[in-house]
Parts: sequence; C-alpha cells; structure tokens
Amino acid sequence: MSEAASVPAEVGGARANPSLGVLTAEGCIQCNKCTFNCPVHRVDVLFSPRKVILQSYLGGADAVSERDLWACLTCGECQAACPTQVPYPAFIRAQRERLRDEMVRAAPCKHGGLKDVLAQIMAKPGLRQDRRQWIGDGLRVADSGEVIYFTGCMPYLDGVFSYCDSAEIGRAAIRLMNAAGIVPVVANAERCCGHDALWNGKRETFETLARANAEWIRGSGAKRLVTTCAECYSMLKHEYPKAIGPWEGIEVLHMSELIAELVKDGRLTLSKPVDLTVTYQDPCRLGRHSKEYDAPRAVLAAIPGVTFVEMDRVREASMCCGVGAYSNCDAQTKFLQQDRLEEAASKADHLVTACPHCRIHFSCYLDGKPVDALPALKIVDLTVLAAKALG
Amino acid sequence: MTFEPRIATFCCNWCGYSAADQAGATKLPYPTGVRIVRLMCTGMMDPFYVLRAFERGFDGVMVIGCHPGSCHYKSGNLQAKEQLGRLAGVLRALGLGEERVLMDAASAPEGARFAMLANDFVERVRQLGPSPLREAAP
Repeated sequence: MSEAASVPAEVGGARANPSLGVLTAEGCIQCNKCTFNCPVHRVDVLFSPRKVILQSYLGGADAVSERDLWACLTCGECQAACPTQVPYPAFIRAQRERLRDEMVRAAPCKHGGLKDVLAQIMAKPGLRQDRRQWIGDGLRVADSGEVIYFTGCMPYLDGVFSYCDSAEIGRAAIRLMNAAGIVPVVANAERCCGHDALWNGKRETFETLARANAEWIRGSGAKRLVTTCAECYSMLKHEYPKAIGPWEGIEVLHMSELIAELVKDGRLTLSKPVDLTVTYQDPCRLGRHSKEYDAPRAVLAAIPGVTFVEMDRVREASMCCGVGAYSNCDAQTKFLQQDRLEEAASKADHLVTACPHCRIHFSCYLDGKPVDALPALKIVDLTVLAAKALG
Repeated sequence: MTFEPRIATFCCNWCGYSAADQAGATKLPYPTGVRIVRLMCTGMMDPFYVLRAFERGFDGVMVIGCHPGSCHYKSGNLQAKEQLGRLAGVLRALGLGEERVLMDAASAPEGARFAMLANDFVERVRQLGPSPLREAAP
C-alpha cells in the first residue's frame, strides 16, 4: 500500500491514530472514480467511498453511517482507481478503530464471530496450542530451522468450513518445500496473524498477537517466513514492521513467491502434467495491497499442462471475492460472487486463487446452490495445484 | 482454594430449560457453577458461542436440548449436534480438548436427568482442571 506523507491529526473532530500515517483523505478531488470502481456500489447505489470520507469529516458516529462503514470490503479498488491515490481502505480502517466502540453492529457476517473469538483466544497468555494435527504422515517438519511455514488460521478453518479442505493447502505447501529440500518449521507457538482484528478496528488485539508472534519468530533464528495466505502475508510483510519494528534479517514470502523462486533456481521441478484450463483470482491482500501480481502467474506458467486464461478484470482492476475480513456477507455479496464466478466460468473450468479466504468465500457460494447455476467451476488453491505437478 | 468449575450451559426453551426449572422446583441439587443461557432452540447454537464462553473464562460448555426426534422445531437439536461436531478439531488445536464440551438432552419433566448431567459434567471438568484460558479465579 502506498504511503502518503501528510498526516492530518484531526479527522472529524477525533484524533486519528498517527501510527497509520496514511490519513490523506483531503487529497480527494471529488471526481467520483472511487465510487464507479467500487464493487459494493455496483450492487448498492447508495454506497459510495467518497460519501464515507465526507461523512467522516463532518462528524463522529452520528455522521458516518454504520452500515456504510462496515459494508466496505477494503479491497482497494477505489484506491487503485483514484487519481490522487487517496488510501481509502486505510482510512476506513482508521474510522473503524475510532468509531468501533460507539457503534453497535446489528448483524456481523455469519462466520465473523468465529474468526473474532479465535483471535481473542489466541491473544491470551495461557494458551497452549496443539496446532500440527493436520500434517499427517510422510511430510517432514522441524522444530527449528531456516524457514518457518506460518500456517495462520488454516488449522482452525479445516473442518469448520465443511465445503473446503483447508488443510490440504498446508499439506501441499509442505510437500513442495520437502521436494525442494526444505524442512519447514511449523510451530505450536504460532498465533493468529491478527488480520481480521486489525481490519475490524481491534488494533489492541492485533498488536498483542503481533508481539507474541514476533517474539517466537525472532527467537527462532529463522531467515525466511513463508505463508500460503494472502492475509497473513500482508500482515507479516507490511503491518508487523509498522507495529513492532522491522524484521531485521527475516524475509517474508508468499508461497507463490517461494515456488516461483525455487522453480527459477532449478531447485524444484514441476514435471507431472496437470491438464486443466485455469484462470486466476488476484486476492486483494496479495495484489492491490502488496503489489504481487507476477509470482502467482509465474507459478501457473511453470506447471506443465496448465492452460492459463486471464479474466477481463485482473491485477489492479481485479474484482473482490465479496467478503473482506469476515465483516460483511449479505445478499449483495452473493451478487458480486455470482458475477465474478460467471466471469471465471466463461474463461476456464478451474478458478485458482492464492488466498484460502477467497477460496472459502467462493466455495461457500457454490456450496449454497446458487439460483443461477454456474457451469461446473472448481475453486483451487495455487499451492495445491502446484503440488499436483510434483512427480 | 478448591477448584469450582464454571460451566456455560445453553438450554433450549422447550426441553433443556424446562428440565432445569424442574430440577430447581423439585429441589434437586446441582453445582452453582452451572450458569444457564436460554435459547429458543439448540439449533441456533453457533460454534462460536462455545469458543466465546471459553474466551470469557468458563471451564466447560454444556448444551442441553430435546431428545432426538422430539425437537420443537423438528430438527434443531440434530443441527446443533452437527455444528458442535465441527468444533472438535478446533478445541483440540486450542489445547482445550473435546471433553470440555458436552451436548446432551433432557426433556421438560426430566429434572432429575438435568441434575445428573450437570453433576456428572462438573465432575468431569473438575478432573480436567481449570481451563488454560482462564486468567484468574473469578
């Protein structure tokens, strides 16, 4: 996410959080491009990013519509389209932090409660996890080493979301790393990355989690931190250094970046043909928030047999999967998902994504037997697809 | 100080809660740590209610609904069973263990059964010890 220099201390009469350093909403030139690029606006004409900013300047909780503040997907399409680069998602996040306690949210997303309580539990000092049960036989993991595989909430999502085998992503990641001679560390000391807490305005919880994670990661002596989740990646790479200081000698990598690197260096050979026609969903946290568009495409190009077809709205203009940080899911979300999945189904029979949450949200929609039935479209994780090509 | 387990108990309006009422009316003793929340039906049990109870420092969670086949809303109790089943892996990963959660049934006149379930479950949790997430004695 681009950083802007000027920081107004006061927004709408309340002190903004200076650590965000991105509140430059006064750069808005009222062109309304944000609104016409906003996915939420497409299904709800009364929602407008620009309107929320204006409301925020006018006053506090009574001026900002509670519904608008939580309807934002924080996907960043508005910022990508904005001529003056108003950091709209960061602005929304700051407003959520500021107004959270004054607002009573009528109906959070169905699974938002689960994700929220998991983060709260993992922020507790007494926690003693046993988070490696999903690994299974034949895969090698270590207690210490150069490379940490940060699994995030993946072990917890498995089983809860019955329509998605979330742990297969983890197993695929370990298989790929093992094939390249890497024995990754999977630690019981690991805690939630804090993504949903931060984006839902619970900065304190996020910072507690960040400190707990940083302590064991720094103490482990590892050099690289690999994750299969776009959300964990954006937190570890961009938000942790802001909250707890620079990593100093630890490199944060998304699994797609690691695979692309290993294939390029010849340390990993993807030899078994996977005869599929696929298209790729840019996850917002990996794409617009982290500007990583090429590594996942490089991985797809490296898998033999795969025919890769781009959708029309890709990279900066990629459409959101419909849910951001589990703070919103309603009828409008379903319209967005139907729209995006139709686009994907018109290009390929497999939709590949590099974020387990995009996968869950899209799979949820397909599992719910949509009214306008889609052709047999399957949602696949990039890491799982790459592991299929292992000989 | 002896450990007195605190149990978040979710009872459905039609069976579990009436059974608890019956236990009280007939003066059947059960531990004071059993705190009851009334729901219209156990079918509305979201898995996160269970986790929220642990987050707030409870040592165990008990869900008491209708017997299979006699749910007031036909199948809410079966849905609750399915929903809670999904938590097994989560509870193990969090280091809490599945034993701290119980789903059972007691029909409206079964006050004695409710008291028995409560006594047995509290005893089980007592053996397991305080929840690791419990920060301080309440």
